[in-house]
Amino acid sequence: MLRIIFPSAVLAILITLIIISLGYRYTARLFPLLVMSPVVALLVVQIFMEFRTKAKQEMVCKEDKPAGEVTLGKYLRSQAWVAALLLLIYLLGFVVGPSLFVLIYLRVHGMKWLTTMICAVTVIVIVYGAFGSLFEVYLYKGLLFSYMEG
Amino acid sequence: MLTDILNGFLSVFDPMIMAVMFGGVLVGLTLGILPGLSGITGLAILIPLVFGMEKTLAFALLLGMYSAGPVGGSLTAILLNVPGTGPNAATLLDGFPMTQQGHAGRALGISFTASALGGVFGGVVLALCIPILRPIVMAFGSPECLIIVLMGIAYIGVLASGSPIKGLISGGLGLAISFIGYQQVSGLMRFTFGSVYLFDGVRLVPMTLGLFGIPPAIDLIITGAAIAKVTAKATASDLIEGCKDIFRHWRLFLRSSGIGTLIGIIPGVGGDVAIWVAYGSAKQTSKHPEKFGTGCVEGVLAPESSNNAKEGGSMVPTLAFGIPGSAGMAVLLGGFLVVGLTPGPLLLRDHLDFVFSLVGILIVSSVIASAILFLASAQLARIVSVRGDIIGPMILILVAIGAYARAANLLDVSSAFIIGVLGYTMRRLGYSCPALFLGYILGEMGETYFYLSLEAYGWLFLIRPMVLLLILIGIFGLSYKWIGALFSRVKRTS
Repeated sequence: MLRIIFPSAVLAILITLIIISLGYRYTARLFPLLVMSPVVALLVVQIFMEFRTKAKQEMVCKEDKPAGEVTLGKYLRSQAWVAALLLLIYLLGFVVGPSLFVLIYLRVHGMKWLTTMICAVTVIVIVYGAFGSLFEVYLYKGLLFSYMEG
Repeated sequence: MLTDILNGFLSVFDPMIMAVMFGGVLVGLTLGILPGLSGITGLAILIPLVFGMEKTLAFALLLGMYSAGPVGGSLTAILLNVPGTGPNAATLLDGFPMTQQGHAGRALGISFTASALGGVFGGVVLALCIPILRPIVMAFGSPECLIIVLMGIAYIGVLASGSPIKGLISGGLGLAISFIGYQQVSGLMRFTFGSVYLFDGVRLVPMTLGLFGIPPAIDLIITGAAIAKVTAKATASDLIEGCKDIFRHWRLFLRSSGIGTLIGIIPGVGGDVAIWVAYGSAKQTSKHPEKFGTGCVEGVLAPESSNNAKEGGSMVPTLAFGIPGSAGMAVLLGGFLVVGLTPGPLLLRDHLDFVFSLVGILIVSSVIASAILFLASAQLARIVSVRGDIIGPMILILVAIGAYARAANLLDVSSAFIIGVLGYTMRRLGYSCPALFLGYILGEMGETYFYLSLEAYGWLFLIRPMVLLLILIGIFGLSYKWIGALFSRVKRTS
C-alpha cells in the first residue's frame, strides 16, 4: 500500500508546487517548471506501474510476505519511537529528554537495569559534557522546565 | 604547481591533522565493523562538527573516517560471514571459508594489506589525474557545467538505485527541495509558505543527518539484537603470511586496484559494483577458478584491493567536476559546502594545495586504518557484539543533538526527523537517498548555471558542440545497459 501512497503523496506535493510557481515571475518559475514537470510525468508512470504490480501480485500469489520485509506494524512502531524522542526533547529539553528516552526504550526492549542506567548516563555525558560544556552549545531546557522556572 | 602539490602532501603530516585523522579513522573502523552502519552515516553525524574548522583539519576527520569504513567492514566479513558495509560482500565468499579452515589470520592479513595498498593506488591515480583534468575542466563554461550537474544527478539516480525511474524521481525531488527559500536570480522567496525558517531553504545539516543518520538507526531499532560473537583468532605469523600473499599475487593486486579505480571514476556506479567486477575478473583469469568460494586467497585479495582503490577513483569526478563518483562522495560534497568550498573548476584553480592534501589524507588514512586493524583486530571485532537496540537510539540522539548544535534551533531537529522518516521510507521503497541529496546540493548551482547560460547564449546554449557531446555521452552512459540487452536479444532472435 505504501508503494502507492508514497509516490501519490509526492505527486500531490509537486503538483501543488507547480501551481504555486506559476504565480512567480519568469526567472523564478522557469527552472522549477522545467525540472518538476518531467518528475510529475515519471511519478504518474511509477504509480501506474505500482498498481499493475499490485494487481499481478494479487492474481498470482497469495503467499506470506517475503522474509525480512518490514511489516506496517514494525514500520509504524519504529516511527513512533522517533516521534517519542522528538516529543521528549520538546517537553524535557536536551539533558533529561534523550536520557529518559534511552531509559524507557531499553527497558521496553528487555535490557537489564545496569546496562540501561549506564546507557542513560552515557547520553547525559555526551549531551551535557561534550556538547554543553566542551562545544558550549546552549542546551534547550524544554517546555516543562521553562514553564517551572516561570 | 609543484609547490602546491608538495605543500598539500606535507600538510597532512602536521601533528594536529594526524591526530584528527587518527580519531576519524577509529570512528570509521567502528562504523565499518558494525553491520548496517557505514561511512556515510559517520559523515552525516560528523558534518555538523566541522563547522568553523580549518578545511584540511575538517577533511582529515571526514575523509579519514570515510576511507576507514570499508577496511573495518572486511573484518566482520572474514570472521563472522557478515559484511560490515555493502562493498565487503564479495570478501566473505572466500574470507569466511578461510576462517572456517583455520586461516582467519591469513585472510585478515591479505585484506588489511590489500586495503592499505589499494588506497595508496587509488590516491596515486587521483594525484596523476588532477594535472591532466585541470585544463579540460577550466575550459568548461556555464552551459557545460549545467549539463554536467544534471548528468551527475541522473547518473547517481539511475545507476545507484535498482529502478531508473525511482532514481530519477529521487533526483528530481532533491532539486525541488533545493528550490525552497531565497532565489538569488529574482530575489524572491519561493515555496516557503510564509515560514521564516524556510527563508534560507532546507538547511544542510538537518538534511544530511536526516537522510543518512536516521534511516540506519531505524533499521537497527527494527532488527534489534547483536549480530554475533567472535570466536576465531588470528596469530601474528598468519597475518604476516597474508601480507606476503599480496606480493605473491602482485599482478592480480594491480589489476583489481585498477578495476576499482576505473569503476570509482564513473559517477553513480560505486563500490558495490567494483568489488564484484574485480572478483569476477580474478576468477576468470585464475588457473584454478573452481577453488573460488571455498577459501581462495585471490578471492579475498581482488575485492579488497578494488574496494579501497575505488575511493581515489570516485574522488576524481567529485573534485574535478563537483559530480560525486559514489553515494559517500555525494555526502562528502556537503562537507565541502560546510567549509565554504565548491568542488569543480574553481577548487582546482584556487585550492590546488588543498586538493593534494585530500590525496594525502586518502592515502595516509588507508594505511593507518589497516595498521590499526593489524594491531587490534581481535579487540575491534568485539564491537560487533553490541546490541543493535542500544546503538539505534544512541544514533537517533546523536542526530538530534547534531542537528540542534549548529544553530541552537529546535526546528532543525524537527526537520532532521521529518527528513529522516522520508529517507527511511524512500530506502524501504527502493528510492535513492543519495540522488535526492545530490539534487538538493547541486540544485542551486544548476539553476545559476542555467540562467547564466540563458543570458549569455539564449536557448542556443543547448546546441553548443561541447554541450551536445556531453549530452550524447550522458545518454550513452545511462542507457548502455539497455542498449547491450537489446543487442543481445536481437542476436538471440536472429
